[in-house]
Amino acid sequence: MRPLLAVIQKELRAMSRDLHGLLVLFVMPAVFILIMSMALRDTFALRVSEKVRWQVWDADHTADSAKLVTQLPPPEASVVVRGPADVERALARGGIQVGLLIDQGYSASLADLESARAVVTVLAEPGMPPALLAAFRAEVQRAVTMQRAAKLLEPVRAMAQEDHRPWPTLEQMAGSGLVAMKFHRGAGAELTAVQQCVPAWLVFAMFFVVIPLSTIFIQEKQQGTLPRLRSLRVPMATLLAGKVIPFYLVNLGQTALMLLVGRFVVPLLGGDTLWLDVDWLALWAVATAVSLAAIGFALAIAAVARTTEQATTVGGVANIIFGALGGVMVPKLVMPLAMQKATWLSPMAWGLNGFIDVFVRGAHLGGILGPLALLLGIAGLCLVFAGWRLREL
Amino acid sequence: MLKLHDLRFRYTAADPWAVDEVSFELRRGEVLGLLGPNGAGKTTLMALISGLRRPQQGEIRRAPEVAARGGFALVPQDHAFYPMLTCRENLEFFAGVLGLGGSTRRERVDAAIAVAGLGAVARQRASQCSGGLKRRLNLAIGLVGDPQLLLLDEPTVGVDPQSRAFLLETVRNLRTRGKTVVYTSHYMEEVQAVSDRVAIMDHGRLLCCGALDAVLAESNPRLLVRPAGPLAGPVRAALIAGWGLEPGGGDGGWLSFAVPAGRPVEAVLAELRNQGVSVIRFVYGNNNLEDVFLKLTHRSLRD
Repeated sequence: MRPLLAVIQKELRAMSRDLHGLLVLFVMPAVFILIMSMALRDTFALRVSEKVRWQVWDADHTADSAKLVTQLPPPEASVVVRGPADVERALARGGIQVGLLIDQGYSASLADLESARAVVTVLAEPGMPPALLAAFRAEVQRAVTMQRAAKLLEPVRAMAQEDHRPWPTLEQMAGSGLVAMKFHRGAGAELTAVQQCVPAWLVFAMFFVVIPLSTIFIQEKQQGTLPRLRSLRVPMATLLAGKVIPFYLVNLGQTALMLLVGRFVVPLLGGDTLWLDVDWLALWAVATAVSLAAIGFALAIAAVARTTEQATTVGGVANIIFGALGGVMVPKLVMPLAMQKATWLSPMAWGLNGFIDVFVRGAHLGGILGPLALLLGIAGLCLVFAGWRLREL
Repeated sequence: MLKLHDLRFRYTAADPWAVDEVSFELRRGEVLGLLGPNGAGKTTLMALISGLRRPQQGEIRRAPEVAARGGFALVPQDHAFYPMLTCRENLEFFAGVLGLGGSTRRERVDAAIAVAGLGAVARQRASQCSGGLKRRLNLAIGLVGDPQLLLLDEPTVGVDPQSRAFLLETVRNLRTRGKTVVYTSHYMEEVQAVSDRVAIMDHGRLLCCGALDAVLAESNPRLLVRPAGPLAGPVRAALIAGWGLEPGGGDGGWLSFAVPAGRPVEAVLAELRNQGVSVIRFVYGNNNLEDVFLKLTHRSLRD
């Protein structure tokens, strides 16, 4: 027991003095979580939270066209638009994101079912986020549809008024209150950017132990400390456990820090708050399984590589590929179906799915056995391989 | 204390034997100097003795006090410690992996620091120590377990003369404390300075092994002569043919003669005078290990 404690203490001391390693393991993922939680906020939101900057040129100059504008979010009020050219100039400058051009004859076309000519044009700036543009276009389409419905139903409304019968407002006719949108969340939370980014970058950071772990290990091989320890009859199992336990503690530290960032720091910047009313046993189980898989992978790399350059290159590139493929860098839900299936090739995806199951689907231990089995399986294989490769040290 | 019998080892089946039929016995309290050029097989032999490699043939017998945990220590050529830890932390770590704890560990660490003269830098990170201090720390780590057998693999490589002298003195002190030491080096003067017995290796084979005086006596005494001027060609040829002048000799103005046993040195000097060679200095005396090595391998130790 004493040799193991000595190895663990040495490892923790060495890590605590490696500033660059600490930055990579703790600061890098926290920064990624902050940036990506803000960047992906609208990708995960049901409503567009950002206000669209837009201008309108109304060539119709009718009560209908004026009413259309009032039914949309307010445009850039201080700008006087003298024609469509002004709108296009504003778009070119980047001053607005959308120009709404209402042609002459808009009011007449509302009652003309035969007309197929477009009388309202949504002119968008090319760099505008597609989700934002789609939401604005849907708002315009909804307003036009309701105006046309009112126009077509005008004779019926007149008869109803003559008979003193009630006539619904446009909002009542649209029946938007009849449809509710909810996520089936079980005991979990809505999948927001922060619920996606915290586990994603946490898994990525946990796998990044490959850099410090393999570097230290290969330096020990090259400098002769490992052979020296072996000559002192320190069992390989003790040496491996002396790596696994400290880096497991580091991974748990990363988990705690990233949860705190998601819970308290991201909301300060205007992002969503990480929902943490989870099964903590399940959360610990996923974190442990990801940690063991990451450490096993790092030891396998360290056992194969001959130089620190080889280890950091192979480990770093493999991590980036795992991250890109596993839905860390690009969320799985925005991937095409074939790519979503391919995420299963990445161990990071197994960990991420386990975390998402806990955070979003409110899964308990029984609900995450699949990801746990995969992660622990790869951890076991890697550790056995590393032990076998290092047996002759 | 340690007995090696017909040890053979090679790294792959395609390689030549790195250690080839090596046998010797190590007695308690002696310093064995293991001498050989780079690539002779010294480090591999140390790895076999320390159990890092298993011999493919032969056997190693260790006395119980050596076979016990911490009974021997290998001090490798490399700086085999942790540069980001302090000297004391390194020693505490290695004491810890040997299972030492509490006051025993403190005492052993303090003792190792004292023996290696590291008191002034004990709390300094190892990476910030000079080359000589790193060598001392390397040695101190070997001493922290208080081993009976110490395997020192080229312990003075790359150190300044003061540190070298300190390390050699430390080895001599270890012998007086009853420790057994295997000291490998390709510096003959070091091996000659600290060893009771000497083993010479080349190409994996043990060429000789014995008491230092006995090994030195195995080669002929040498006469070094400094003539007043260069030798004429016919004179040189005559001295090579008849008087043991080594061909190619004359480096730094000195001529080297291997004087055969039974031939008086005065006769060689008289012949030089007869040949018209004016001698301004000469040295005659015991051989050194370089001569022995040259005789055994027909090449210089530093080739």
